[in-house]
Amino acid sequence: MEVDISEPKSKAFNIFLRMLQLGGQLILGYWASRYDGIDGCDYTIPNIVSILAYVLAALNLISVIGIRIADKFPRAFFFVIFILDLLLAAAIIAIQAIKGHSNCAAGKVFREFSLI
Amino acid sequence: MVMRLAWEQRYTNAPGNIVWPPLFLAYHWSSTFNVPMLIIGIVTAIVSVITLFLHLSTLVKTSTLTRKLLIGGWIFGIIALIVLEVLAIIVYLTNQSSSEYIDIHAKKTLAIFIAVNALDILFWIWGFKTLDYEKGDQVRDELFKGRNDPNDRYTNRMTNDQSVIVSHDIGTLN
Repeated sequence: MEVDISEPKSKAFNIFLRMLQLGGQLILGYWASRYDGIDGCDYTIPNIVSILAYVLAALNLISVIGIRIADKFPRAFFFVIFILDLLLAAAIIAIQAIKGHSNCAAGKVFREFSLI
Repeated sequence: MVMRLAWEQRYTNAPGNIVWPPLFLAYHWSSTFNVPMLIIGIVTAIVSVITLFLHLSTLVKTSTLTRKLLIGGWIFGIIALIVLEVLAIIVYLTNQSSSEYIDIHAKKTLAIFIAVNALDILFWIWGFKTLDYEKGDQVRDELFKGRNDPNDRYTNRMTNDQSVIVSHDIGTLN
């Protein structure tokens, strides 16, 4: 049986690309929610979430580039990045779910967007 | 992660985002925003459901018909999302003076939709352009084309590594 050596690498690339997309969505969502003002809003929690989103996006951008240019594909590399991705995503959900309640429209919409 | 690579790549690169229906359909918007918000919520739900079912139809068995339906659904999804993007921008720009809480809520929802949907559209178009129905990602295929090529540096490195091992073994035996 022929083994497709490209498959684990392609799967990893695909997962990191989706995580990069998720990070980009959160960053854009954050800035869009701030656009045209957030008067009267406590934006501490969205600010923290946006920092985590930047980390998520940067981590996966580097991983995607790394996969594209590297010859080798260590499985440990995939699992380390993947676990970090899951931890970051879990942290974003947990922070928004526990502390993200907001009465102002911008914070409320961004919280719901992050959670879903 | 557990699905076939080609199927998984197709599905995760296809249009649809389940975040929009709850954000757009869960509220009673004012009359200014009600209709466009309903349209965006319903159409995004339709795109997500169509994408899911078309891909489920190719999970077990594929044919020319399922392939055509899948490509048709993909194109429909991208066009629908582009139309919604334009609609959202028009509604957002034509209601700048709204000051009621529910209207500000609607505008913030639209602002996030405009930004995030634009990014999604770019990803879905890129996926459509780069994915082959059967083989998966053509862009990544180029990475692995050289693996069976004797002139490929990966193959050469493997050969050199094996030579080192062989030399070492001969040295030990001697």
